[in-house]
Amino acid sequence: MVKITFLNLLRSKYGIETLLVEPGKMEVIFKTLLSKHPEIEPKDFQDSVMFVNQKRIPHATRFDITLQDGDDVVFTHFLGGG
Amino acid sequence: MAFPLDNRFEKNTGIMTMAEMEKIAQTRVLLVGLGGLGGFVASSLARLGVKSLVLVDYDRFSPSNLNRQLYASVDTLGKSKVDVLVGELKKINPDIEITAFLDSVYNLDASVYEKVGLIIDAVDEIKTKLFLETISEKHHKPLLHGAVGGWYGQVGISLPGSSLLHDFYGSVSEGLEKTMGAPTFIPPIVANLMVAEMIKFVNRRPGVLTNKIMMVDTLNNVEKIVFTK
Repeated sequence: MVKITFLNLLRSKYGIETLLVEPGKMEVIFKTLLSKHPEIEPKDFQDSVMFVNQKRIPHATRFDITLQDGDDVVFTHFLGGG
Repeated sequence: MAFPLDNRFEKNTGIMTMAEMEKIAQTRVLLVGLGGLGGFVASSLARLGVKSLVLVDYDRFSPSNLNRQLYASVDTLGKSKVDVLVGELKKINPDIEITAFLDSVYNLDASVYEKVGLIIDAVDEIKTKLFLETISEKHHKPLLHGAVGGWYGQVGISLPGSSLLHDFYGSVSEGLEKTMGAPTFIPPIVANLMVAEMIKFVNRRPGVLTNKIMMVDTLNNVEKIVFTK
């Protein structure tokens, strides 16, 4: 299974901590996520950043990647204040 | 009445040996940004016994700083942050040697970087954080990074050559701080996580966030390392 963790704004706004999903293409997983949680506003995902196994996934290609069994995925937002 | 200061650091000895405390004391630190994070970092460095500190900030205290900045008060409004901090830090630790620049870090002479052992990023713009990482790489100095926004914060240490922050932020120019601000409690939490990382890093302790970014979520009580180089 793939573990998806929501951090920061996404966790706070939607109350979703972690999800376990079947491995596969992120585009398919993303659609599954939105069908399970239609309350998630697409913009919040659009503005988020995705990490897989502590590596950043480029925004433009994140729906193209294939997640493997055991992958650790994080969706969060950037911070820049001081 | 003058009190003897001989035992002023004794409450730090429970987690550090005298040799480790001396390593901290001898670390010459360049602290850039004296706002929410920087004020608390500076205070903690003085209370840790750091003997030599370089402070950089072009800004003056304003009313919008009062919610979170340690040295912002009605008495310091309009005063330069570096001047206020020099005075306050010397009240905490009269032995501390401070070099202060009331200027933008972009105008700092390269010789300043050569004389320090650690650069601390407490600035409030991503582009300046990236500039500091470029500087740290150029001068072969480690960069201790922190950032805040809303209920959240992040901490990490970028070693020269890692491009930790450049790869983390990419082309992003702003984060949640633009919409969620910086509430009262988050700068001191993140600032002191940064100081804890400094103690571990200088003393080569395990668990240090070298070339890693750890995010902290105080609303949901979560911390997680999200990025590693």
